[in-house]
Amino acid sequence: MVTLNQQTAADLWKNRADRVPESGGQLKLVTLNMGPQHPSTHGVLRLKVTLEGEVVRQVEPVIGYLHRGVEKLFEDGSYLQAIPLTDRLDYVAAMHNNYALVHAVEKMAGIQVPERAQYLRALTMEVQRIASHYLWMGTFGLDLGAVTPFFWAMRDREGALGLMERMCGARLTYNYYRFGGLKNDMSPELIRDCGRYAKYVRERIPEFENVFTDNDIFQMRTQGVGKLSKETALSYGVSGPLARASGIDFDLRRDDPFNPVYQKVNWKVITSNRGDCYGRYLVRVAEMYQSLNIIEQIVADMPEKGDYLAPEVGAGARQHRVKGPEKAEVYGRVESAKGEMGVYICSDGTNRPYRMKWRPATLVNLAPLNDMCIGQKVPDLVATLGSIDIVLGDIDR
Amino acid sequence: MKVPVISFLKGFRETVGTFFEKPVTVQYPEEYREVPENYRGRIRLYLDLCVGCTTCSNVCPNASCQMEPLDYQAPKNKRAIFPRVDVVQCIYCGLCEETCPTNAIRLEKEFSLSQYEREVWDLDSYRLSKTDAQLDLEEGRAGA
Amino acid sequence: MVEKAPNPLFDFYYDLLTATLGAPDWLAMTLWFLITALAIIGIALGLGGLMSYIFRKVFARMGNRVGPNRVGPFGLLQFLADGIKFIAKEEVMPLKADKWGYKAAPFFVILPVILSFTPLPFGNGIILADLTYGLLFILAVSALSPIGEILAGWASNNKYSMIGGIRTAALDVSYEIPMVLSAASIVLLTGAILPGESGLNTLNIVHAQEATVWFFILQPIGAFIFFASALAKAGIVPMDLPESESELVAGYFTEYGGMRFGVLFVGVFINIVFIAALTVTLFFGGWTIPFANMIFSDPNGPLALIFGVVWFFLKTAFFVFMVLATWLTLPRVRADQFLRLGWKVLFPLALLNLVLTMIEIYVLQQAQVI
Repeated sequence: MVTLNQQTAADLWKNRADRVPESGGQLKLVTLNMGPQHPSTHGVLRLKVTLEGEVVRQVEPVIGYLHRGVEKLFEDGSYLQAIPLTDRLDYVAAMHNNYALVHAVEKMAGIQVPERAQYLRALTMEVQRIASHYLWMGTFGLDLGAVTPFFWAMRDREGALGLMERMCGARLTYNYYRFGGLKNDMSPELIRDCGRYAKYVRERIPEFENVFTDNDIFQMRTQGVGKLSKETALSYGVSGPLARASGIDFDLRRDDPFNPVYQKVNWKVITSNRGDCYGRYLVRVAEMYQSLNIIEQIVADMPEKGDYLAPEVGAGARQHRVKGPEKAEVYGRVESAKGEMGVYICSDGTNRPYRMKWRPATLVNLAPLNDMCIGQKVPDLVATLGSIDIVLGDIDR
Repeated sequence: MKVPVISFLKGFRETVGTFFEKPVTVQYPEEYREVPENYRGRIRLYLDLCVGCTTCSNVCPNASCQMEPLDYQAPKNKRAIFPRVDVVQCIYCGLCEETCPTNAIRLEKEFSLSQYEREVWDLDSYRLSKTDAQLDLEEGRAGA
Repeated sequence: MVEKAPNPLFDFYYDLLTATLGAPDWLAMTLWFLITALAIIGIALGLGGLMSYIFRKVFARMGNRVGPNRVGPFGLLQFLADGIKFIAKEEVMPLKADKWGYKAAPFFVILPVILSFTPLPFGNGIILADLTYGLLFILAVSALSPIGEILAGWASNNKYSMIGGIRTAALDVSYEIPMVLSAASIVLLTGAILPGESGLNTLNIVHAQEATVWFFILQPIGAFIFFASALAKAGIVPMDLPESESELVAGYFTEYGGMRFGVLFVGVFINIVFIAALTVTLFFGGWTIPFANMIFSDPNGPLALIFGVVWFFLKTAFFVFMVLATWLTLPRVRADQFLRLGWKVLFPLALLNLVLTMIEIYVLQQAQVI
């Protein structure tokens, strides 16, 4: 249980994003609108930035430009029909969204997942995590001005997308997980190719590290920029690499295991106590290496025989008829590439949810943007926003 | 301020090294990348296998699959209703294929589907059963 | 009247017009100026277009891609297609923009870049105008661009443009000084090596390097400072402020469209070629071939001349590649960080370089080398 000390609480209230900012010096305050269309806001996010000269005094994010009413659409269909909808939330890492929903429903309906299915799920989660972090690295370089690593990231991400295309038939909206397992099995060649892809990635990440990690200009741009202290992070409830880079040692794969395979393989939770953009970069790169370790161990330990789908639920139309108990409320969460992604389901006994509230990882992570950016300059704002790793589909739903 | 030459040289080695590598571009449309067997492309209906159970239209997440009567005699399809899909509105999720009990509606590997008008793609069940190439021939559409 | 070096091309042209065709003197001179001006513009824009193609190809290859390869053989006509596209686009001027400032600004930005090709020697005696104060002309003309940048930023009635314009002008002005100082060291050296000749004449600079050794070896710090300052003035990553795309959309030319934007856009590429060519001229010997006396039987004859031009372009191409590698590898430096760099690091270094040059000249003169 963490208590917030009084000084931090007072500071947070003083600097909250919707108050009228005061000028720090003699210059007039100017409002700059980094509007919904902007090359670096990763989607349609509007930032109302109040500047004094070049120094940021307040940042107010305005969201909702990608709102599609997904939570209302969930209520229109069954739990099975909700799975393709979740693909479109965090469209960069769609497997993780699928898993959040499927995990919550399994918790609610009490479905046991067979062992081989658990291994396959963990494998696909980690491959997806690598793909998501690759995209982040490429776009972070673009935000800072290094244009070439973006293409290397896309090239390497193609391998992961190709693997997932062979698994489930699509490159971005997978619709792969089902209640009690997966939609279809993975052949041994595909599993072996996942291991081969992990080996390929292991040789390719040093390319990025050579261009970024020791580069003096990169360090000048990211060290000390966008600092998020541990207390602030805890009070906002951020999760994922953003929290781990501020020193919070919390990873759902270890602390609230949604998949028992993570207890069986050797891997570490990476934290850093830097709290700035450089720390987040280091944490994500190290997380990619840990994901590679997990993938290689899973490929080695995968049980040969086993069900890929729990037989008591069954495939096809029986998934459509999965229903929850009457008047049940359950919250299921997974560790996605961006943070803790969860869904809170209220069921009324039918195969349609009464209400599904989605906890987006990126919306909560976007909240401390104001506190991270006050007193810094506009390029630092862009770098900080890039290092939080937002996806507008997840923020706006 | 230290002279940042060495870190820059490491970066240069990567970029200039990549400059001399072979490009990985697949020059479409001359070269072509094969899609796997279970690729979720265009929907196709096999008329003779359909039993008219309406599971596909019930399970479609965005109601792009509806049932309609068709003047066709399929064995085992007593009510003579068949699915009708608006191929443009379809999100290619594959739920209809997964839940169909007779494997009558499938997602095939065709993906290069472009036409000039949107209405062309609201396929009734008869046209749903033809491949894109057959439709091009029969109707004299673009792409033939 | 200033003594000018003999220019056989001009002599031939003058004789042709006055003697053979009987045109009066003023007509011949005016036409000559016109032809020279068109030649400068043609060369500059042609090099700019070619450079944009090279940039896209190199950028693509560094990312494992192919680059333009559809328009024309190997995509060589891509820049023509881009030019036609720019001309065909509608130029939208913002409603409240300052009309004359908006229209005048691109001229101030593109003019220095094109004009600077005038006193640049491509070969032995192959120069568009042999100015006695060639280097001073280049540096003076390049000081015009901050006017255009601020004017463009202000006249666009757009906060992004204003911030971009002010940043760019600050950058330009700050890095002008180390560039001028390192060029001044070159002038001192040239004047010492060739006594009585103007140290600012670009041909003299290359002749001085021919007489002794490439100035890069005598002035390593100066070469580095000059290259870095010239890159900063051109607006190339890592000092990419004019076009820090991910922050300010497009800096001071956000509100420009159509050919106005095309002109500013190709100006960046012309600038790259120009910087490379200028660095080669000042520090790497221009067209001089090492051991020319041994390779060519007649070092002043036509074969050596053509080879000198080719050699000059090869050296320029190498430096262009260096500039592109810098652009495509390094991230952007933040505005205040590199203003700090310019004033606190490069400026004292340039002053130090000047003092060291003077000591060097004294030492070399004492050692009877010069």
